[in-house]
Amino acid sequence: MHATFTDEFMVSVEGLVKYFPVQKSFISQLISRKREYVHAVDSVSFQIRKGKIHALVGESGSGKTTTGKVTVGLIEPTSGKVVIDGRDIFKDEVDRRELRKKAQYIFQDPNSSLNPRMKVGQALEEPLIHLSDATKQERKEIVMKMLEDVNLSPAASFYSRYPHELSGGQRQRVVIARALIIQPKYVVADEPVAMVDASVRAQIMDLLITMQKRLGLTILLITHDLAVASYMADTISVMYLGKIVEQGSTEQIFSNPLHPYTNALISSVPVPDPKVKREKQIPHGEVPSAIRPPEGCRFNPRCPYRFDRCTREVPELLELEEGHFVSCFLY
Amino acid sequence: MKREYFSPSRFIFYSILGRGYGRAFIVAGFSIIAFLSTMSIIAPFISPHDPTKIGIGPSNSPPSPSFPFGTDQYGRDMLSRIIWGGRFILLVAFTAVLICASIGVPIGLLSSYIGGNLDRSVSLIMDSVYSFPSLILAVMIISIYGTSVINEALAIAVVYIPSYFRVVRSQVLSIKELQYVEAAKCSGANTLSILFKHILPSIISSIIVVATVNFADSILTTAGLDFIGLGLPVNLPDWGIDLTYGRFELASGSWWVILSSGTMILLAALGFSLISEGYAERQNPKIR
Repeated sequence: MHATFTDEFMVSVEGLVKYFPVQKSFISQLISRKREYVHAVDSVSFQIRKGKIHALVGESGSGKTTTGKVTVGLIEPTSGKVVIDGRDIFKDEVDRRELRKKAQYIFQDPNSSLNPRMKVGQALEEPLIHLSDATKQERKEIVMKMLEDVNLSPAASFYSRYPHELSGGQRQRVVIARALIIQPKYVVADEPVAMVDASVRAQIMDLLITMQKRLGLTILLITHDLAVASYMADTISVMYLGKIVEQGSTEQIFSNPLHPYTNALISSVPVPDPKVKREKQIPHGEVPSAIRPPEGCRFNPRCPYRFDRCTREVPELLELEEGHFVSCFLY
Repeated sequence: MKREYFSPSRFIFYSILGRGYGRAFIVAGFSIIAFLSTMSIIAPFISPHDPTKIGIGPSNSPPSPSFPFGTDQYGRDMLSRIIWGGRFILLVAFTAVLICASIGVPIGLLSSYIGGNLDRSVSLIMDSVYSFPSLILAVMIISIYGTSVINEALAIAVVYIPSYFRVVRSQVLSIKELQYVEAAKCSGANTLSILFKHILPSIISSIIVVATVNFADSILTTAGLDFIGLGLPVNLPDWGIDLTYGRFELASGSWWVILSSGTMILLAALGFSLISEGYAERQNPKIR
């Protein structure tokens, strides 16, 4: 049974917890001994099937990026297990180099994730230098081919440009190319279209889908935008304050949203039809602090359906229909 | 995204010449330094007189066809003294800059990149060294080990290491949090490769600025050591000695002694400033 489990899933995250200690000044350390933590990610579990796209959706501060970085080993978790391609990346003595070859990360902001002093060619060559045995000549050929693959042609002209000479969309393509150049199996795409113009957003999403099909990639898509998730993802996890509140296939989430927070998110996606009048269910109030998260269900201070139990107990993630999980006392 | 910081010399250079003179600055700076170095090296063959010989001309004579830079109060030929005068001071300054940059920069890079307790203890040591008055430490080292190029350079270098450390550290602290450093980590780059390929190129212009100041300061400290008698024997030709002793002769109207020696020190510092400004501009691809 364990064998089929590892065969089926590329990525499996179980009970992932990440607390960041809050930096305190020397004086306040003297006054209070108690250490405080930001509860960035609090027991998050999900699996991604091979060759599928799973989206983590949530507003900023919900722990999506932290989760993504932990799954490629860029951040050590406080506790929990991440299995990539059948190996626990924090437990087994996994060679860092092997892990990097397998799991790559597409960084959020293409403006700051490219070194301004390195030409596009050098930036793309870097993973090959560290992670492959290709010769200089071979590396150049691979980079040229990759540039063509992400539609940066003529490749020779982009090869020797600096990042500031590129448009936002072109920079995003370079960042995607850098993550894919060593042909990883698993890629985390952190807000891949948040920083590009609306006009090139669809092109970048299509590029990611094309590359995913061609390389058989498994993608963890991190986004705050449900429209992006619905366009690209096969399955979706909705996160709120470090916890997954609802999980299911894209169809299940959109046709039958269960959690009040998911409902609110979906009602905020604009529909391109002026006649459609929908009741907007924007949750009132602000996202509470992740240092002292609310007691009970974390969504309770903003939830329109709150009752007694919500402030006392923490809801479990329950499977309501096949593959559709929700963590809410309404069900 | 390089942060632009204000530098008076850059402001002056740019307001006179405008931007885009990086290459010209570097060429001019290197020419000055090359000229001074060559002059010092071939001094024995080009100086018209023996720079230490007293009474070659009349005492305190102003510039004239036979003594183009005049003579000092002992009647020594200033032109010969200027030609010879760079040998010791430039060598000490070069060596000092080389020593402290090659110690301070790697320590700063590693310590701030690794951070934690290592960084805290190294910073503490550096701060205590920094609190030493440079001249007093130099006096101590030289009175123990005697006057030589290496000793003087070491004495100056020890005190300047923390300047490099601090400048490097403060910049690395902000750069190491940037996404492209994390991206490099994700591309499989190891710590050394991140430090020297991604971080060092972004801070090299600030290092060169510190080196320029360090160079000028080394020259002044060397001159100061000469002045209190711990440097070279007083009769040896040296810009620093001529500048410090020339002060007294200025009162009697002999402006040429400090003008010539002071100009040489100024030229040496200017050469380095030009290199640093030119390099800073070329390093920033956005204004190339």
